[in-house]
Amino acid sequence: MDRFYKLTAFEIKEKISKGEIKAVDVIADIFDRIEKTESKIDSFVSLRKEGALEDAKKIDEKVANGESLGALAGVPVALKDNMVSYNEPSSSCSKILDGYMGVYDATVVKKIKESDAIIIGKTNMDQFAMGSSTVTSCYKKTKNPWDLERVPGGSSGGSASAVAAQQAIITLGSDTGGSIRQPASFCGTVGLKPTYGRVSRYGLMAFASSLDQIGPFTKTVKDAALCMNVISGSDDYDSTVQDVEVPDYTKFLTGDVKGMKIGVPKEYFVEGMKPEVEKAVRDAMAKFQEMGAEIMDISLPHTKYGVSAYYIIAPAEASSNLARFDGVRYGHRSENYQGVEDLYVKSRSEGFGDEVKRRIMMGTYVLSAGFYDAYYKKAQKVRRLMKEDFDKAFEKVDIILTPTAPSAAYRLDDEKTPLEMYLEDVFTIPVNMAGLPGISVPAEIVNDLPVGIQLVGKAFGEGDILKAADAFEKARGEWNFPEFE
Amino acid sequence: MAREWESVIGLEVHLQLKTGTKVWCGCSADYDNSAPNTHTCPICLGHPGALPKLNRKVAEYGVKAALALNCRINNESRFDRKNYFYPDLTKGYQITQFDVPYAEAGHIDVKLNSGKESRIGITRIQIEEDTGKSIHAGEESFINYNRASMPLIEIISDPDIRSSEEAYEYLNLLKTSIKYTGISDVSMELGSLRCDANISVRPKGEEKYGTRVEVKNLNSFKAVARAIDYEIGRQIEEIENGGRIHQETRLWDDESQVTRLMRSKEEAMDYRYFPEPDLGVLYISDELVDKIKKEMPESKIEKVKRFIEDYGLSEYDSNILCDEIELGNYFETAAEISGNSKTTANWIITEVLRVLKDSQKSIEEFEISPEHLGEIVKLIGNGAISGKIAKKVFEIKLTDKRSPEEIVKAEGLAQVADEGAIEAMVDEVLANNGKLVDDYHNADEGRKPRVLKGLIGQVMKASRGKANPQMVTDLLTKKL
Repeated sequence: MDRFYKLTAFEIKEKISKGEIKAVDVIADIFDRIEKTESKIDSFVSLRKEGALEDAKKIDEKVANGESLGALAGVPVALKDNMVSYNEPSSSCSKILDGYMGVYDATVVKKIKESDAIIIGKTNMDQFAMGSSTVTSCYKKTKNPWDLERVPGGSSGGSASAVAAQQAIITLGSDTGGSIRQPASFCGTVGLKPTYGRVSRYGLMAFASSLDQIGPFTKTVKDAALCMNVISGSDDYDSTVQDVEVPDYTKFLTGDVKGMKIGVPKEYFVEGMKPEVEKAVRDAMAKFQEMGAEIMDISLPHTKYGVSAYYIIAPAEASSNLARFDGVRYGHRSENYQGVEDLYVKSRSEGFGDEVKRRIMMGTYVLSAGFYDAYYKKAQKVRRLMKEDFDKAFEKVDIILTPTAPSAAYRLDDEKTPLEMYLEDVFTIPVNMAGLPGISVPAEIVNDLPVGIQLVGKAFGEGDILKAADAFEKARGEWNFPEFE
Repeated sequence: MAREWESVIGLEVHLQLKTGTKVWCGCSADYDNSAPNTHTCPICLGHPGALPKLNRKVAEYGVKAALALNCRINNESRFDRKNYFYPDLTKGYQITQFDVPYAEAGHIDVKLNSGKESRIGITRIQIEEDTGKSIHAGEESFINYNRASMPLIEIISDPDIRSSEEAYEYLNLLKTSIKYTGISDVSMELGSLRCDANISVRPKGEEKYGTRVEVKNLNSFKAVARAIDYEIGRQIEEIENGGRIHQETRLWDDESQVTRLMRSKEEAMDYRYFPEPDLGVLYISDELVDKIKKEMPESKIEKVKRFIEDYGLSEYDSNILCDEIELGNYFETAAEISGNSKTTANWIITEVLRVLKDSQKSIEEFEISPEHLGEIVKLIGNGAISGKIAKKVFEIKLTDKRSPEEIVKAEGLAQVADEGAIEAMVDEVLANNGKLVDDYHNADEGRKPRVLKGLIGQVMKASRGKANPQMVTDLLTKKL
């Protein structure tokens, strides 16, 4: 049998529309690959093989009838488990929603379906997207395909590992403080967090509504651009999506970054930074210079407050967003309760994991009467200052280059304290706080582990970072994902 | 010596808006006769991932209310989350406007029967969502989410109200003003108007407010007035007996006519308000406000003024006719046809309103169209029928579809204005009532008109009410 799992989304769509390959064969091969690798990786929490094969048949019929095809025709796509899809398990990997079936399709799910892509299942994640290693899932621990004793990163760990292990061609993740970019760096995939307001959040189970964005994991920058063409744009169901025209992002992939001004913030080279990370960034700077880009020193002085302010705003919003999970209308309801108060306490105590409870408590505390001004209001002020830092920097530069994460993937048994875990997102959080687009691109392999670099653009400047990432990818050369079979 | 006390009252009024669909989703708002939980969707049920999106009609209706209540409209306002757990609250928070409401600084001018006039300030109006309804039955509870996320505005008054009478008048004026805009049914019975009262007392002359008590569960305007009176009395008594007032929430018990403690300040909830991140800024441009202003129906105050000036009606009559927008419209249509606005107004106030009251109908359900009522009045005016016959026509019209003119013709009710015919009748009456004629001639000047009236009555009776009364009077006077 021909192996299709190694193809990119762009290649699959081309070959299917030319009639060279069949969508059913692609799907069959992807499930064959999943069956052979999943026991080692644990990327998925639900699979829909039958449904995917049915969908694939329809695509093949379209080809046979000469009908026009969507931009991602026949491409196997997996969704993070916090995206709602109709009549499919949608649980955010939390016991409180175990067994919950979506009652509608999220806007991204609709758009993915309309593009003729084929949804193959849902991926593992940190419970309600709270974590940086995917270990807070109520179901299982996902392993990093590059080293099965290491974490895939998180919270979209299953989406990252699925692309890295070539169990899916594109996966969608969500990023609140780094949850796409950090696992992309750990797993050696491309991962893009769009500008806040670029992609509809309707149907994404909210963690922190003012920070959450959905974005793709792909093998190549070109696939990320393709996927962005599909999922971006305004939506009647989400008033935070901006009505900004969606360009054809693949048009930006010229490979030409001559004269592009790339800022490197001095605050991102912190003490204790892992040498492999610093090396990856320095090498990338050199590569961009070789290609004719101009590297400039910039300063983002409020970076150091980013993590603290984020861990006020995000839990505050989360404490409110998770209030709907009360055991009354859907989801887990405790079996023994006396009265409504007890129903709430028991259902929520049993349903939520420790990390989720920790953040609900933090969020409830910072919003409480008497503490609001000292915490939430001040954090919002810091957020504005961070945004102003970026605004000022972008007066001088086109994009910003930083490390994605402070280290490469760490070991699963390397137990981190909550605070250490929170610091994992030190380079990615400021981008969410400012609502900007950021992409992590695999840069190099150090000690057998991939390391990514992060490129940050102006608001709605996805085109700029895709252009730079694509040029960098071409300069970097071929990238081989680990084999298992 | 007993001190004099002054009461300080503020009212919070919730109005449900008739926008057709709910505030954050497209669910139909006409759920009154629907089965429970049939007007729901993932958004108003608070399913995972669902987001609110503001129904623009809510903002437009809100602007109408704000204009009717003389408020300033903020070009930019925001939504906030009020967090608390209750089974009828699907998201675990209510979306409301806490920090910056869309309208502020309005007023209602109240005039009491005593003649006392005062301006009651309106602090703010905010847009928010309604909750579902819990139904408790013994050990079990049920929830109907049809009402969840229905659009509400909350109108918060300044603490300017000083008596239950003022509160009652404020509510009535608020109700009429809103009713005129057509944005709400403003019915306490239907639940589209709900009211809570904040009540405190202080020694007369004191500037500092006393500790306020919030009273809920007020199900009629009368209940609001009674609860205020009860609460004022309770608070004064408490203080005069050496006690003090605690900041608390109390429930009005309509059966026992008392307020009872619901929760103390210590048990008050911390709602942890914060800006709603799922909704952007609510922009209401001056252009939109101007556009709505132009489309706004005339207010009651404007209409009363116009009735006095254009139709020459008294303030009293105008107020009655303008109490309901439809009644005012009925009058205007009828008056145009009749050509006599004063008589038309009298007919509506005495006859029409009497029938409506007896039959418990609204003016829209009334059997006689304004055109036909105008016709009846016109028939009196041009001498075709007398006032007495007009009443007969009116009674017939209540169950008869023919026009008044057709009825007059078909029933032979037309007034007799033929001098010969009337003279014959007068002669006959004079011949048959010798005693009355003598009586007339013997009576002094004061009594004469009364005897004459009796003779007129006889002639009218002989004509079965159809003779022209003026002609009868003239002929009788001449012949006597």
